Amino acid sequence: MDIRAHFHGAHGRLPFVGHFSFRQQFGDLAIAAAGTVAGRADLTAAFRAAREVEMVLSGLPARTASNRHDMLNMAWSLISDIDACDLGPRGGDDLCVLFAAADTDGMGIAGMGLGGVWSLDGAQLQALVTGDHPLLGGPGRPRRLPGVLTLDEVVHTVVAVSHDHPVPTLSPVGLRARCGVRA
Amino acid sequence: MTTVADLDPKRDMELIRSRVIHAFESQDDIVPLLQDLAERNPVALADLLVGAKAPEHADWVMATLEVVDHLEQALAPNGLYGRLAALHPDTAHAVLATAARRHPAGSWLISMSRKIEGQHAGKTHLLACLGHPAFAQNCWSHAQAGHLPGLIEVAAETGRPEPAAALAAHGHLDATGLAIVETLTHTPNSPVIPMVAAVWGPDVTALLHRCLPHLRSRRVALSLHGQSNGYPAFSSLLDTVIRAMVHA
Repeated sequence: MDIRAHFHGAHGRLPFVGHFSFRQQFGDLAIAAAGTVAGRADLTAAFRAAREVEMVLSGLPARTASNRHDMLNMAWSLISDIDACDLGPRGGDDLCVLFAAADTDGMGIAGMGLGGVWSLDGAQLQALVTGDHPLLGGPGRPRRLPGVLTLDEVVHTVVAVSHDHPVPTLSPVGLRARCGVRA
Repeated sequence: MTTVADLDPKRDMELIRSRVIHAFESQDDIVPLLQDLAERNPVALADLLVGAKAPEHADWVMATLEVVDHLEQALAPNGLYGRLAALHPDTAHAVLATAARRHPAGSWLISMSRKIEGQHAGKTHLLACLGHPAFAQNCWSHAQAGHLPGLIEVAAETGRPEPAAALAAHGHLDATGLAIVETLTHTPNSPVIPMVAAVWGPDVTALLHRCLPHLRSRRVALSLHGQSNGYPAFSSLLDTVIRAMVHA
């Protein structure tokens, strides 16, 4: 099982300041994350904070998880335990992150600081949440992971924009590059 | 009082032209004549210096650059500097440098750089606008125009991270690798990897690998290592490379 999380870049010449991405797979379990932290800090501080998030998530003990919910909770615990001083000048209060976790029963999607979430299948984008859905909201690191959107079917790629993204819709054209995905 | 002071540019233009050209051919300093004319009629000055009858001589161009601020009152800068650069090949670089200093944000400098500098296009323009807010945009424009060697030379001479980032933004991967190494060679703590990641996306390992063939110095390799330790697989590979390098 292979799933991906993409986080849309900001507008301007430096769209991916503080962007991070992560994915891990263990048997029938998979998790992917993408987001941004310290995005308005100086480049070096944002870069360090983003690499810190990736490094911490890479220690996720996937083999001890029994389902997608475990995976999401473990990932969130790891994020919550990062020292604020390692997450840039705002200590993680500006964290925007999209998590997607999958098992044989379906998929769970959670996050912070999200302004919209879509599934991407080939060139087909489909909005997964709209309006005032609890998955959408402000950035930061609350103690507990906010609500999880559950899907019965696994989607290969989930895409999110940040809460302050100026455009409420997305075009699939060039989307991967606009999310900083180059491979 | 100059030899053209008593002449009216509207009525006596050909006489003015012949006196200035005579002074020029006699190797007299013509700049005072030009300044005299500039204060009275910049359009006549432009016709004299860069019009169809302008002498195609390097010293003429250099004298013209002395009064270029007056000429800009009569002519659009892209036309003015383009014409001046075409007057003589030996002074084209000086013309480009003057144009870049006076109009660092001029988009027309991109194509002009290519005409004058050829393969090294961008170097003069970018070095002239290092302290200007348009520097980053100019790096992007030169990268978009494919001026790779010029950008790499600017990275090597300044240690600024923008040239490498601009190359990455436009998909010039091999050139990005070389520019990163040149940047770190000049300024080991230049935030070049953070800036490249900010334009490329979080996973820059493909670009980091492009640096390896260009590493010649252990000092630079250590500097790259310091900025890439958030990428464990590459960092481990670089460790091996560094251990195999002689101290330099």
